[in-house]
Amino acid sequence: MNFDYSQDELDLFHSLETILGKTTEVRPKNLISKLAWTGYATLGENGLAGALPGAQERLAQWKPAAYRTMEYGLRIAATTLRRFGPEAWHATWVTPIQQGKILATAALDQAEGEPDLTGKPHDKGYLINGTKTAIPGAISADVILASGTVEESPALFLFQKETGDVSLTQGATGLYTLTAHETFLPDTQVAILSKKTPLAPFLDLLKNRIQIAEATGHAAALFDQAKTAAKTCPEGGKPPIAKQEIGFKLATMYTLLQTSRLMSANASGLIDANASDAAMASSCARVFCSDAANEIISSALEVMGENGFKKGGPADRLAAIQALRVEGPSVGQTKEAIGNMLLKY
Amino acid sequence: MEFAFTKEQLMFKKEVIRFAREKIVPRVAEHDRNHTFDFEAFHKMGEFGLLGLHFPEEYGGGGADVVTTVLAGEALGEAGVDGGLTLSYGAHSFLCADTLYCHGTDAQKTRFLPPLISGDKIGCMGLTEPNAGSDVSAMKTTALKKGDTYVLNGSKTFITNGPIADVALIYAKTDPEKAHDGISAFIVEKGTPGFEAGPPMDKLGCRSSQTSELFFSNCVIPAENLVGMEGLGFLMAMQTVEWDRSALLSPMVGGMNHALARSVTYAKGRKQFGRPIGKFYATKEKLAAMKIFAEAAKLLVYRIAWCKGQGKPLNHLEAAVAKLFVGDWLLGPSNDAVLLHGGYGYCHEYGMERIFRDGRLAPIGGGTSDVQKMIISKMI
Ligand SMILES: Cc1cc2nc3c(=O)[nH]c(=O)nc-3n(C[C@H](O)[C@H](O)[C@H](O)COP(=O)(O)OP(=O)(O)OC[C@H]3O[C@@H](n4cnc5c(N)ncnc54)[C@H](O)[C@@H]3O)c2cc1C
Repeated sequence: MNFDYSQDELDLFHSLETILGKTTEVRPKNLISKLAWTGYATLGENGLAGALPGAQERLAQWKPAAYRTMEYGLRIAATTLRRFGPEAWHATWVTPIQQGKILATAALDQAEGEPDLTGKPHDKGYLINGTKTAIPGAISADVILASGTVEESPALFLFQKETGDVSLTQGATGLYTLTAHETFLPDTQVAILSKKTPLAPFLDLLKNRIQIAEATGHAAALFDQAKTAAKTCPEGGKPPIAKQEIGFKLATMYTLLQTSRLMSANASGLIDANASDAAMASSCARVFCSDAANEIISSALEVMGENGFKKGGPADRLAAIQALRVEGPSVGQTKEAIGNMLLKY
Repeated sequence: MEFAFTKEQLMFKKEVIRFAREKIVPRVAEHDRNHTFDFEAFHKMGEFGLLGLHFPEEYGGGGADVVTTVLAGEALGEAGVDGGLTLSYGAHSFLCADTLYCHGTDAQKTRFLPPLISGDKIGCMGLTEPNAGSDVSAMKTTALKKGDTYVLNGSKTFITNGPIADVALIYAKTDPEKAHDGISAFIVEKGTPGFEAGPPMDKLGCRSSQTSELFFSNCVIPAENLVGMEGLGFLMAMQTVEWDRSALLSPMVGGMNHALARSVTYAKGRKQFGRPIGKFYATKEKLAAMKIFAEAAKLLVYRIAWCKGQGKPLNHLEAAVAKLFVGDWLLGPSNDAVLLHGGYGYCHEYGMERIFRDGRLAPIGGGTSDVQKMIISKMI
């Protein structure tokens, strides 16, 4: 047991905060290359896996949309390519993604009522059909790693920017849907895994971790804003935090935030350790942290009043937090999944 | 960061659960119903080594680390031991005995710790007064020095183990003019003239623990019964905060896991509308709420325990966070455990209403949730 961050991990947080505090760059690819020296892009491979949730929180606190795309590339695409892809993909894709030379994202979710991606052998490759949804940053990505099946085996497909017969449409929450129609991918861009490979649960955990840290990042940003506002003295008066109404709200917000952080760190550690209770811990964290962010934003708005609705204020995050709660698997679906795990259904 | 227990800790937890299921749990319902203290279970806890788990072996303790000690409390809750007995254990071992161990003289430790650790004697801690609860500094009980004695006058209330304690650790003002700095701690033994305990209070929950008022009327104790130095009583009481936020809360985490396990079994077996109720979303949502609470509370409680074990300075802010969370967030899932059992949840036989009732102490005892919010809002 160890509830402390190591000095290296604290140094990483410091570096991230320094860079994010100064940069005006919001393009994910450029940001990744800007952050590469800190070790952020290769967390987990450089012995700093314990810092991952804290690093993710800082990015999500700063710019949630950029965070999503970066994390889908680094933590889902690169991680999956390294773990399940053929050796040749490591040098071609993983390293450039981690260096910010190639921007990747990942397509994991099946669109409701639409067929999942399937590939059928054709010539020296595969013809891909089907739909994936909830893809962040798809339009700017150089490559999209998608999960699907080939003849009932789990498979990974790599769609490059120039791949024809692929359509991308943006949904109301800003995420994209990819539709492939007889799209040809050469066999160098398709990896077929053994039927026993637990690809889907693995991808679910990686995605969950990103969602959890995003919720915590929102919570941290909102708490900071509300705290700053509550501690700012009006001329000649007491700061709002001196009023119990405000002070107690902040106390509850802080409690939710700190608990979210612990749950996020716990889930992340179990995912990295491939532990049998990783799915349970991350589902619990997904629900708790999303609910916490939701509660914190309404408190932040109450603490800040009209100022909370100004540009850059808490209200800016309202839609993102709600979207995070409903995107699949939603908070409600995750509660059901927890129940099923407990009941062994 | 890494939150796993060691293999040895987990094995010990299993042993405690086995012990508690065999020796304590079968009598829990009866003691709760009758509002009676289970002396036999308490002695068995002493024999098993639970009452003095973390104390050095020279006093008869087990020399266990803080996390293991806190885990034992969780195990008791998980086995199904009621909040009354775990509260009595907490007040005895941590609020009373541990303060003697940390601040007492060698003579005090040698005399009082072994019988407290074995369970031959029962301890209590008296801080709260009728007009000084959240505001401890307002206490009116005095201990005025007279030659080589102190004379105590005043009263305490809501004292766990009050009616059954042999050894009371009492906080009183040696300098009534001062607030916190005027408070000192004393050992008062049962039978000391001028010291009396009131009858057990009739409570909502934690019924097997005996709670009462304590009265001091020209109660003369030897000066050597002063614990630590004059004026340091409040600081000493504050030093029990880490135990209070870990060892006294961990049985509630375990209790929630107990309720969860029972609820899962019930949800699988109870059929309505031709299906086990576990098939309904509403049931799964309740189970999820219990599980999420237990996961979150566990992390908060063990963080405090781990920090204490590492010898880190007391972090009042994070201790208050743990207490506030357990206190305020326990209500929903413990209510869910009752509701999930339908009418049986409301009946004593199934034990869910007891868990609900016992849990209502969490936002009150050891500093209310409002007090935790005061601390947090001042410290952030
Ligand atoms: C079963 C049980 C066992 C106990 N065991 C012990 C024991 O062993 N030893 C011991 O010393 N004590 C013990 N206590 C006492 C316990 O610690 C106190 O009850 C608790 O600290 C609250 O004090 P009070 O009851 O006087 O409530 P009060 O302090 O009178 O509070 C009443 C209400 O007012 C609120 N309040 C008070 N001040 C403020 C404020 N500034 N701002 C906002 N709200 C405020 C409180 O949150 C609460 O809701 C026990 C209590 C119970 C119920």
